[in-house]
Amino acid sequence: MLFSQKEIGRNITLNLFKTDKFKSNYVSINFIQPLSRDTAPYFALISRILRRGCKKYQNQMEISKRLEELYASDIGFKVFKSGDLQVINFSADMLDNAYSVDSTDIVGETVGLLTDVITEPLLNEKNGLFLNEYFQSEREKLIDSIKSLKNNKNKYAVSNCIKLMCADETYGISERGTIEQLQNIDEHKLYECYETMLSQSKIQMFFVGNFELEEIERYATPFAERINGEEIILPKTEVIRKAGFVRTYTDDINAVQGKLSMGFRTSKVFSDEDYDAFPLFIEVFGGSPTSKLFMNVREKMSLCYYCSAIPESNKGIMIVTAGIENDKKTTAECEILAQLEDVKAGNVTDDEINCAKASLKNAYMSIYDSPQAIEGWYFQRVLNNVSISPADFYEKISTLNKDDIARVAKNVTLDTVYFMNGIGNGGEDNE
Amino acid sequence: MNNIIRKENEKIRESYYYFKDASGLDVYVFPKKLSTTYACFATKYGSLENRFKLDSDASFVDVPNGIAHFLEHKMFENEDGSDTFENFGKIGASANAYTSNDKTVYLFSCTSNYEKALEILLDYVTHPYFTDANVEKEQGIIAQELKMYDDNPIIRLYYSILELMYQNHPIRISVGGTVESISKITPEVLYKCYNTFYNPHNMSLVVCGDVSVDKVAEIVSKNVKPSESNRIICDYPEEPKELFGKESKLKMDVADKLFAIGIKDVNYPSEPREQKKRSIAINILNDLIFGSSSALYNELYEKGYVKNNFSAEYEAFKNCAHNTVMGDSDNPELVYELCKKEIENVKKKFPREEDFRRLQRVIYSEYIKAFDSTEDISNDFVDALFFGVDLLDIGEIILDVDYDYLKETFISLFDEEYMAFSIIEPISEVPKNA
Repeated sequence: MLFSQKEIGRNITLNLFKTDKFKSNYVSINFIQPLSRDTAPYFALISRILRRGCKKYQNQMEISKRLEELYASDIGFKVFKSGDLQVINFSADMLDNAYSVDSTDIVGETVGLLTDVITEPLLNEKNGLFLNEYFQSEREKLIDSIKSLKNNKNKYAVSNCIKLMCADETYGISERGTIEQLQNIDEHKLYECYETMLSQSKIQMFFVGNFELEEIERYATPFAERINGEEIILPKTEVIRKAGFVRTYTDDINAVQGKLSMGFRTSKVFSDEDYDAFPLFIEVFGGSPTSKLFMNVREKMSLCYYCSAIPESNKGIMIVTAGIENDKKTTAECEILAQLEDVKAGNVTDDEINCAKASLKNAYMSIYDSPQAIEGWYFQRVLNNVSISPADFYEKISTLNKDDIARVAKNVTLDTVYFMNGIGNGGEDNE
Repeated sequence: MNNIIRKENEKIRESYYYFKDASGLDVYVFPKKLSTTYACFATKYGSLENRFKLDSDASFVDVPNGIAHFLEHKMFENEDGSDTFENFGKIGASANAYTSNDKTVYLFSCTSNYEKALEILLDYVTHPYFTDANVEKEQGIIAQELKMYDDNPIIRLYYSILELMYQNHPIRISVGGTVESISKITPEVLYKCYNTFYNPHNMSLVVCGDVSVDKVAEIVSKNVKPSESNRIICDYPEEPKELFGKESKLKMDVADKLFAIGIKDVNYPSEPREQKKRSIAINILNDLIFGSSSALYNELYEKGYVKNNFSAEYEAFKNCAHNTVMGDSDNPELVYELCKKEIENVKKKFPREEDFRRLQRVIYSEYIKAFDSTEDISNDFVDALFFGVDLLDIGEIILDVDYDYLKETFISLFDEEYMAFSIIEPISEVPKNA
């Protein structure tokens, strides 16, 4: 199993993780742009419109049928943010040619279909813009998906906390834009953003599977030629290393259970030299069923079913999230902060550290068992110029001790507390 | 000395080993050259078994709803006070468990030390420890878990449709029970359930990864005590064909209306291989009628009648099965009408054989892809096993479905008389922010 890279064109990096232990292969093409209020909704919308049809397969039904013929290949589209960057991600997952019972070149055909969908969109012949029908329909759906975030109360709570905490920072911008922005999209600007996406993005392509570098170059070269991209420099993510005074917010929601979210500034990001102590800190504090949060807030005090710490290490923040009874808010908050103080004071037993290390080792070694997980790991590393493998990264962690953990914890400061107060009984039956 | 049997499927390049331990436990070892070893220690006991007796018992006993799930939570408690998650954590394994309608599964995954992890798994599941104090503590935790589910519109929608389709069958009851039903659970009744269902004769162990069969056999024989085989008799209520109700509506704090269409399978066979073949045929029918390459789905999506979600799933158990179509829409009633209309269209003009073959290829390909994950293999293996079929035989069963069989299956399932419809809609008043 090897990781190698090659630059092609002026803005494309090919990343190859070669392995023959899977029956499937995985490919992703990531267009990376600065996250900006002005363009975020446009990029989010473009990725959805592209999936509706291309010149060769003009509607979703045709694309779906073609994927079915290609032995249930799958293509995926998503938009996410990594620090102050917006990533427009296209991916494909396909059975290896070894399992083809006729002579179908499953891999070549699927990668070809993916690049067609991205670079040969179906356009209105008269004005050269995206088909109005696809634009209107996908805009509706994107607006709906923003509205339905509140259906998952757990995720909604965390998302609101981040929005409040980073309201004056680039990272607080939603990667899908706002409903109001989407209602006012300019179709000409939409197509211009598409051209910008193709030729003025940093493009990271990942291939995980039974590939050779020459082979993926053969797939990528025509793609690079169509794109004809320019060299591009991406902005660095703004990292606030220390919180100011603690801000508190509360919302009432129609739900049975309250949701507590506490946002912290961690002062640690992927590209920091001593970053390796940070995942160990997270695991000890609130990462696993042996963590301080799980063992105390859940098990000892029975306050909740879930209580965990979620880091974002491009931005340097962490959200502690828990579902609790409304009247337990202050108790839970105090207990969470008390556990953090414990870690800062170095009150971490050898057992707790060993469990955390073992659990991290397990997590990192498991990455090698999933093509998507491999791509996800290397994507974040490549973005931050630290191409270390999961195994090598674990080696660094294995040498750390509770002083290293305390050193990291001391720089973690509480920034924002957000509570969703659950009122109502969650639903009214209507026979 | 165990009699170890090897079973292979050359076409998909997979194989496993089987033996029966002296204790009565069935053990399956699935060699796989991946980093992660995954093991499932499972019992044929879930939320459906709420009225049962052993052969040797005089009469049936009724137990509170949610007890199988409660028991699963309590298994993690140890008499010596040690924490099970910590015990696994120390050796680098990650543990979990789940309870469903028809099984409870205790599992771990690890990338080293599988021998020690297996010992811990077998040890804690074979040593129950229930006390008044620890039962009371768990009631608090599970109450929060149930409330979290109560706030989940998809789960509420799912149970709404089950309640419409089924009159008496316990499938209509939430696996976790209710806050009220779990308050009735005592250590005594937990032990009764444990001693009945957690007998090795009623359980199976599946280990998948880069492991040694002989090592596994050794660890099992050291950690699982022999026990007498005692037949378990479960009583399930009579379930008439007729639905409990045709329609229901619920208001929750959601952004859009969500809907579910349920079709009760009143012609569900009783033989496992037949049941599996029928399941596969219905999955193909679901792809043909509701799937992403279907005319119906594309119409609903393009016209905006469904928003972001629309999918069909067939669920099959020992003695009941149903098909559900769920999604979100501004006009669920219209979507329901269009689905019914499409079913009528299919009755008049059945899809072409080439479309069927394409979707059969999809199901077969997805079956092959699942063998890339030790987690998928282990869980799918337990599913197939408890269902009564062998995971390695499923490929054949998929290819055994032919065009005529598909047509017959369609006619026997898609009957409007056995269709129900449920909606969740937004609450009219939204509370103001503080």
